[in-house]
Amino acid sequence: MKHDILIQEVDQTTLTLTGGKITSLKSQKIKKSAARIFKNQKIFTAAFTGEISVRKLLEMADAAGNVGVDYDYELPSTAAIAKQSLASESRSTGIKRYQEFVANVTKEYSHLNWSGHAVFSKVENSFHSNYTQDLKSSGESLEVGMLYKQFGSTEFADGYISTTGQSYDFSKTLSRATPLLRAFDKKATVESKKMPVLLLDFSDLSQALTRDLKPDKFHQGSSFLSGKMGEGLFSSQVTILDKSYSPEDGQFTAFDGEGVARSDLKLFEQGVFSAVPYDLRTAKKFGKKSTGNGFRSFDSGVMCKLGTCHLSSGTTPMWEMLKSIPECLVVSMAYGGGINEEWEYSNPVQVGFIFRNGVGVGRVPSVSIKGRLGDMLGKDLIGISSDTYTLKSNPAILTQLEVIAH
Amino acid sequence: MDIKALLQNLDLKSIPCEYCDVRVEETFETKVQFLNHEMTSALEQSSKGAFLRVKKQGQWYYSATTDFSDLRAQLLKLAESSILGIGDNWQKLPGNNGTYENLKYGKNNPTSITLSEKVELQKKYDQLIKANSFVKSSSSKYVDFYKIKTYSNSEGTFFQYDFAQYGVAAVIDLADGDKKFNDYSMHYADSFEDLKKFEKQMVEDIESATQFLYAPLIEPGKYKVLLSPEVTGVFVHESFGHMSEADSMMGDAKAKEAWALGKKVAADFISIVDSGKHDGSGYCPIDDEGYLATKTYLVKEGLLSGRLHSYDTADTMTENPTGNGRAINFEFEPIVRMTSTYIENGSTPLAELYKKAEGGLLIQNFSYGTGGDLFTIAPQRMYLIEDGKPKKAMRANVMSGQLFQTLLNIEAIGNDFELHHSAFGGCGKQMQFPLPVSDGGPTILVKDMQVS
Repeated sequence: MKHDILIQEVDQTTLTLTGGKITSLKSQKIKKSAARIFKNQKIFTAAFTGEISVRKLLEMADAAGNVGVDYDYELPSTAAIAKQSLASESRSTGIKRYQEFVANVTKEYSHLNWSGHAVFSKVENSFHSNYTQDLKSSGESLEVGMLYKQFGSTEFADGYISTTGQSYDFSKTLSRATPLLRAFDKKATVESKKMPVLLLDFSDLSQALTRDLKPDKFHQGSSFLSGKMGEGLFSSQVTILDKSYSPEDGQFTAFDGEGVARSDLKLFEQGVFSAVPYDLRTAKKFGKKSTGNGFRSFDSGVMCKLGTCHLSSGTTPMWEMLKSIPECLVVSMAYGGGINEEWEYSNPVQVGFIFRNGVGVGRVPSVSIKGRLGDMLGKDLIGISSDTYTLKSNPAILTQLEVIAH
Repeated sequence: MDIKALLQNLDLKSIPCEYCDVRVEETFETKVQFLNHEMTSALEQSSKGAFLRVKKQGQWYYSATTDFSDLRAQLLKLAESSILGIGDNWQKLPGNNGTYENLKYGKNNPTSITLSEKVELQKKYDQLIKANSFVKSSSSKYVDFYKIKTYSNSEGTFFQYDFAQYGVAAVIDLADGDKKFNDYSMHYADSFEDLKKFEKQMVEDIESATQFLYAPLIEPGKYKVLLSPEVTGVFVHESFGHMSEADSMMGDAKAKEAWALGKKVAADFISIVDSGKHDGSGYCPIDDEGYLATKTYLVKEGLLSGRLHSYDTADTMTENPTGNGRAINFEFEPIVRMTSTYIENGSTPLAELYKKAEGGLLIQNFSYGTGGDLFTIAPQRMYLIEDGKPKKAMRANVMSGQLFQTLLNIEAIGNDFELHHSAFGGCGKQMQFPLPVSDGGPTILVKDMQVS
């Protein structure tokens, strides 16, 4: 009888910043495991949090009363994987550096109220089975997010700084945000019109692609992308990858939950729609090969979805791009709306600034932005930055959007 | 393992620190999923974990663990920590809040129902999706969840209670050529028997989704809107609820001025409440720090009246804890969170509200919302109101408003109060998602809402 065991062990230290002070430290090391057995063309699953023997876990999966899920595909025979990517310095050094960084930031910008988290993680993923060789991948990363707001502000936040990666060097973290922090205390106005907009974070894009690149949805005609494979939907500047093992993004899984090795998948190559992700079930159903996108957590079934959706960088740093733009709305925080099924985009702007020829002139009051995704990354696209502002390593997008003053 | 006895024998008073507590969570949950009518998941799982907190030299040291072999040793290790230096001490220790025990589900919880019964029920619901020929792809889910929480602290407070919930959902992708629409039908119950009663409603939801395929996108602008009780709930949760969480005011002496109690923030007919006492997904009879649920008026008759606290924030602001220190599971510390949050019922009949809203929009349900001074709600089903009725289906990406201005823009509230619960998703804050909460109110009429 074939079987597999998926294990994730997370060793994490989290520091919490409240009211400009580090107020707590949390440590946790937790192991989560799942077993699947394959019997009579059905998959029986069991999951457990904590230490448990393989034998016990397999017994749970095979227990009377468990209900199996049908499958009709071949199981993979993946060659051994062993990947590891550790931080260059110890966690205790990282904690010390973070404490110093917080002390510097809260001193330099003492007129702002700071809060947030720093999460140091070591993640070990493994997949053991009697039908593939052993698959292991692991890594360490740090994720820092710090929100700031003015004292007395009724806003949830007036801005943020962040960093992700394997280095405990915070020297660039603050400098990236300096142009915004300098413009923070000034006020600017903007009229309703179509104008250049710099989106520092465009996670709406990955959410829309995650929704529209589900293989069932794509093949059955209910996705905006249905029937558009091979079409040039964006500018040739736009290449979008589903990244595999990506330590710089805190992504340490080199294989999926079905034991299929992952590699970077080009979803859009120079603007042309070029790939759909598949797991084993949908690959069989639609006559394709699995792309290693059969994800599952220890307590879920397999879901075919994107891993880390990544927009390839341009050649110019984000603040350099603005120097030749007479007037630009820089959007630091915009959420609540998004991209609908017909790829129409709109969002209220929680935190936005007017920049003129690269210089921040002040924060704008409440506005909304609106456009069509195809145009935003197509005919209206001005540029993609070489650097990043947000937690994951996606660049900023400079494009033309309708700005609506409230 | 007898968790109650284990915690009662820990002798927390002898741990060398200012304060410590231990919370153990034993959970059982089931997830069944169908994708395009193929079952892709049928899984039950249980877990047991503990969250340990030690307050030393004014700083918190936490640990989350599944190792129950020596909790005392783990607490002593936390009490040796000093890496954070000296922090701010509490003005006073929490004190002994006594004992609270309420295991009300007994054997009537999800562990007593076989996985086969759950799968069969969901198979029936999944078949209902076929009623609409425009549905091109779909997923449907059954979930249940049962939890026993047991808690003890160094002041002598002890509690143990349980909580159960069940849910079914269908998510559908409709298409007619280039026209696309995504919709859902989602239902909640606190018993398996009650979960069997939603067939008619699910069929109605699925059949009536078609009209939105052809609905035009709204012209961006300010509109008079009627919010259904479900949307009133998310409005009050996202707009006022989150901003009433006192942890956002920490380290900010000016915040107390901006949020001065007694300040006029809404019309006299508006009262906003948070309380963990109600049954449903927001049920939290005692919080994760041992404080019993209270009925907290955030706004009473238009005046700012209170805010939500954990013990930390209450002590800092010299106010009383409100029973809102909550964690999503044993891996997290309690932070200030809502429970059941709602606008109290009004007196205007629905027909009169529709008349007042002529030419405006009815937002019937939503896909998600976000909090803050500029709050947002993404409408799912929306109608133009004509001749005193919701007539023409419309689409919009987002509705937004400034918190205080929107409260003052509420022109009337209905007499059709409902509290909404969900077994899917919940509230997200910081790194903790999803926390089960409830929210609701009557239908409300708001002028000048930005819709785009």
